[in-house]
Amino acid sequence: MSEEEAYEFVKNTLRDEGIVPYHGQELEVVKSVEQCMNCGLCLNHCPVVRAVGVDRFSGPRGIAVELSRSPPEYWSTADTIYLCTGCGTCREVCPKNVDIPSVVILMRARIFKRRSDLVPKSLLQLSATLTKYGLAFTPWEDEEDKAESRDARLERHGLPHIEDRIKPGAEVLYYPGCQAEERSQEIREAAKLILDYFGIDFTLPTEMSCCGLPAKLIGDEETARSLASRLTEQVRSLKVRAVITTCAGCTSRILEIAEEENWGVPVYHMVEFLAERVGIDRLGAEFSKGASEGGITVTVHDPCHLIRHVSRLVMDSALEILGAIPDVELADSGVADSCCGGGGLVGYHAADVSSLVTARNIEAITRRDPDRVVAPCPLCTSQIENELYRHGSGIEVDDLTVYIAKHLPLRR
Amino acid sequence: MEIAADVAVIGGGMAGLVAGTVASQAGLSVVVLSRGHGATADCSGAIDVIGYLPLATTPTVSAIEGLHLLAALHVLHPYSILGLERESLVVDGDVVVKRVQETIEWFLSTVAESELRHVGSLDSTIMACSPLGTLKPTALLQQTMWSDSLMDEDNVVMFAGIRGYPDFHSGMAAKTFLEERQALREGPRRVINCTVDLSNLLPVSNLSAIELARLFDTEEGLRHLAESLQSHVEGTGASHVVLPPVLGLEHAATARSELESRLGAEVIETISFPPSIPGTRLQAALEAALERAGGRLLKGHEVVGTETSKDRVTGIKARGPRRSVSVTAKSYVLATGKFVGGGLAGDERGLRETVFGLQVFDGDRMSVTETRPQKLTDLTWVTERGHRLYTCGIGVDEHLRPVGLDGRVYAANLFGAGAVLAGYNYITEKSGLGVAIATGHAAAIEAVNFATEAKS
Repeated sequence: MSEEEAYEFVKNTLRDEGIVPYHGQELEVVKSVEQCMNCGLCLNHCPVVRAVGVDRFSGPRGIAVELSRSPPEYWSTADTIYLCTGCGTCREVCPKNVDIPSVVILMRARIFKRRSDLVPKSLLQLSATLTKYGLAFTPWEDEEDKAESRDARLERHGLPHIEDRIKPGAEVLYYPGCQAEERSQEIREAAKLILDYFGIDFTLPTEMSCCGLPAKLIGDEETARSLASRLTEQVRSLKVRAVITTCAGCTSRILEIAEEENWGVPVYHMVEFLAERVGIDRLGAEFSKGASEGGITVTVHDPCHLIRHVSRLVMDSALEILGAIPDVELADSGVADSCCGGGGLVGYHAADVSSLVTARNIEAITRRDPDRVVAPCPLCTSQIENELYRHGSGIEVDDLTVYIAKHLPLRR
Repeated sequence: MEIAADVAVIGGGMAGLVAGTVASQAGLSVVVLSRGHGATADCSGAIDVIGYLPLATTPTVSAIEGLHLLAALHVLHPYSILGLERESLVVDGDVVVKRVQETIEWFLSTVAESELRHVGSLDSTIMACSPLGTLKPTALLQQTMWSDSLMDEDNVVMFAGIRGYPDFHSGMAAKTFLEERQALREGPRRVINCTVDLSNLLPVSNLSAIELARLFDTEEGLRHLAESLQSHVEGTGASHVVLPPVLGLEHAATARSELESRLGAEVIETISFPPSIPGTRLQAALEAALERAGGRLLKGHEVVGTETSKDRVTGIKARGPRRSVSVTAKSYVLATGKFVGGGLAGDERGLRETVFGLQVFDGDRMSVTETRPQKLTDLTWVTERGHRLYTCGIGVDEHLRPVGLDGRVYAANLFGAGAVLAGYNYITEKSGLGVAIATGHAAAIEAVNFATEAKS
């Protein structure tokens, strides 16, 4: 056997065992794991470890150590790797900033590709939905039912309805994301109302497709890539000069896509855009013309996908905007930046773990007992809302975009 | 994005948080940029000031004695620099002791306001008990780690482990502790061990310190621990119970006194290995102190660029996961730590300072920017001399301003503090956190003075 033949032979054997080389960005992730000193600081901060202990979820250090094994052994760790909520707390406290959230995605991708039998069934179903509809939820069968649900939600929040606007060449694209498109439609409506109120030249996507974050979290790279190109195509064909979202997860994922695909177009969360473009003074002036709720206390939740996947500075804008609303008093729960438990698709297949992570937030919020909780993310909002309800709490929860719209003097 | 402040501190460990808090308390606007936790968050729970003099094999009698001797013998030690007279190049030992004493007092009262209390002083070196049963000299200990009477001859000292928790082996710790006592013919003559079972509350294997700490933060968890220890204490007549350092994150001192009153024995925690619960307590207490003083801690942002003009630092650029921020301040404190914190990095080309690219020296102020790190290590792993690598860092003048090879100041408004400084070996000296507190405090005063002058 020549040297060349021997090389090919070994390579094929390894391939049969699922050992294939890392490429491109994967290598960056693997290199980051090499920095792990095994100090275990991450364990003291991981919200899943807090919720269920290291015996059930080995924690970020366990994940870093597992990655140093050979890929076939990923299969044996599948039960652990799907319990990570991807909050990024470990990466933030790690002395070496080891990129555990990306490691988790990398491992899930290898498992998805080679051993889909180990992927939780609910995630495979979600992957099928994403592939079929380009959305994280099965779309409404009947457009009229969808409109009815939307109107009921608008009525509950006391918000008017304005027509959708699709306008190629507009300055900004408002990208609602799956949750606001299909479920929490009041958020999509609120965003339209706010942009319209401040005379922003905006458009909605001509065709709504998922940002691909759920596909990435499942490990379904192919679908994630195809969704990224659909979104890129939208941004290019609409010729917009900025993209705004109202979802923390979408913000972080779209920023990633924009960088990978060289969009050359800035991506903002709504709160950043409003603070920068409209300005806190103007917002305050308009809020003072709106309806006052009387003095109320509001507790803020910081979405992980904004503070630890974009920047903690994003929450400055959110807090400034809230501070500009008359008669709102901020009530710190002390755990504002603790993962809500809704991330990483954990709730799809291990709802008990997800709820145990949320428990910390619920306990602190109910102890603080504010009139309302707000979060600049539809997913955190719904996770906290559901868990508060389950615990029999009457505290109201609003997405921040909805809360902002409610305080503008809109014609109703 | 932009942030403007009077003082910008790079690094969120002991030196950086002390500097940020001191500057905030002086009424200035402060931002502390933190890339991640470092050595402070993983510390043992002891605050070393000066446990051994360089090359010495017996501990200092007191930190005060140690500081005086350092001042006389080691002009370039960071402690000595606090008392350095520029003209004469003489170190005034009394000034060094006074400054360190004042800053330690400030530190103790500041973290006490965050409900973290310490025992000890600079007047006498105390011995801390490690999870291996060995003793090490230090100046201060978290209150829960000390008993005045531990070493009395008639004691029955019981090391108590927890079933399923692999980081503390009570049998081994007891054996090591006893052997050392016998060799020195001092201390308690009866040393025993036990393992308590909390399997009705926790898994029976694979437990982490953080799970135990959170359990003992609850009334139920603490009650179970007391009940499980009770029979062991009663059966043996133990006077002292030594536990791993896991008595809760939030109110360890209360937990300890509760245990003591239930057991009728004294209870102490050992100091910690990483991952450290005492370190997590300390990090949280320091972060809370900064917040109380009105300073801002920006987590998750790494400084990736600097701007200087003439003899001033004019701005720094920090990067979060997907956003960048420009920070401008009147003065800057560099408190990035050494190898764990990331203030220094080394490769086959040599050692470098990671933020400003400053000149790196060894403990004798020799340049090591072109020395391979391996050359700075000793073949013998543990010696009283230690490895030269750990003495490396930036060189500073008497105002803690980084200097180059020619002794010239790099920038008039940049001050160094903590482990990034050259001139001391925290491992052999047992001086790490003490240097961080003292230089963090001193750098803050320099930065405040500079910023205040710049303002007026």
